[in-house]
Amino acid sequence: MRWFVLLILLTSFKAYGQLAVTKISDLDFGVVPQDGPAKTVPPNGFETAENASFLVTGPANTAYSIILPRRFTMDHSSGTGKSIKVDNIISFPAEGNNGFLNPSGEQYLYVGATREAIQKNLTTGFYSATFTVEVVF
Amino acid sequence: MLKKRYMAATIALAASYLISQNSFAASTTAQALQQVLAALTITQVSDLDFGTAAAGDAAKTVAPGAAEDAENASFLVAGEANTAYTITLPADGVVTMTTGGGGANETIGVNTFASTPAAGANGLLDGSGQQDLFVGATRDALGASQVAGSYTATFTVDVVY
Repeated sequence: MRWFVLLILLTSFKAYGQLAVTKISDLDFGVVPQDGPAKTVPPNGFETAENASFLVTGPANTAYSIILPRRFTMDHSSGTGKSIKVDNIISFPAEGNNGFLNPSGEQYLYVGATREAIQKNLTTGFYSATFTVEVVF
Repeated sequence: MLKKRYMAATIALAASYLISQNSFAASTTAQALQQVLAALTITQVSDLDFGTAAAGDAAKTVAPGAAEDAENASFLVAGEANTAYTITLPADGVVTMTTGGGGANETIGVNTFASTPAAGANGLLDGSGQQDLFVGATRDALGASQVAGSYTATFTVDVVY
């Protein structure tokens, strides 16, 4: 009886496989002048020059959850001065238990967000941030 | 005895299921990027001046030219170094110089605005983030009964990255 139960456990582990997510492209808000308006990059559902995209892989025909950050800030390359705030981070499929790996065990995940308006006297140059996307069964 | 073993197996199965759930997570990072350019500004340096003419005179064209002269309008455009920008000039039929009340024989139309660099995506700020912009246009022929006086109009030149 005991050995029979253990056999079931081992079989379950092998069938599950490894969940993984890899980045394909970064989230790129492009170019804006000082005093420019806020900008929203939509997730879309397909790769664009602006949205961030990822490939999620794992066992075939399996649902998974997507977890996104609430907000983050982009800092100037010099590491000094004011930052640019980013929030309204949304994905396609949507955050939550909306991911589903296809019969090949794959799904593309797209992420967009909104960055605030640019202040008139904000230091010019290149701003960046690093954010994390998590997937979980 | 059998009941104890069955319970132990069930607990082990449940515990393993929970552990397997917690270990099935993965994450990766990505970057968010933004380039901020210096704000684009345009400042007027000189007006468009058609000079002096008499009633009945033919139409006159002031060329934009490649340098400041007494007739062309000139502007200084400034912003991010080595960056292109787009120039928009007034359309035809929009700018009218007037004198007095602007009634009959008191108006002169100004059309065919042209610039150096040319209108459109032809502006290019230099290494110090500047470029001179020169504007010319054509004023209508003057009527035989054109009222004497100083005629003026205001027009807008627009620049954008």
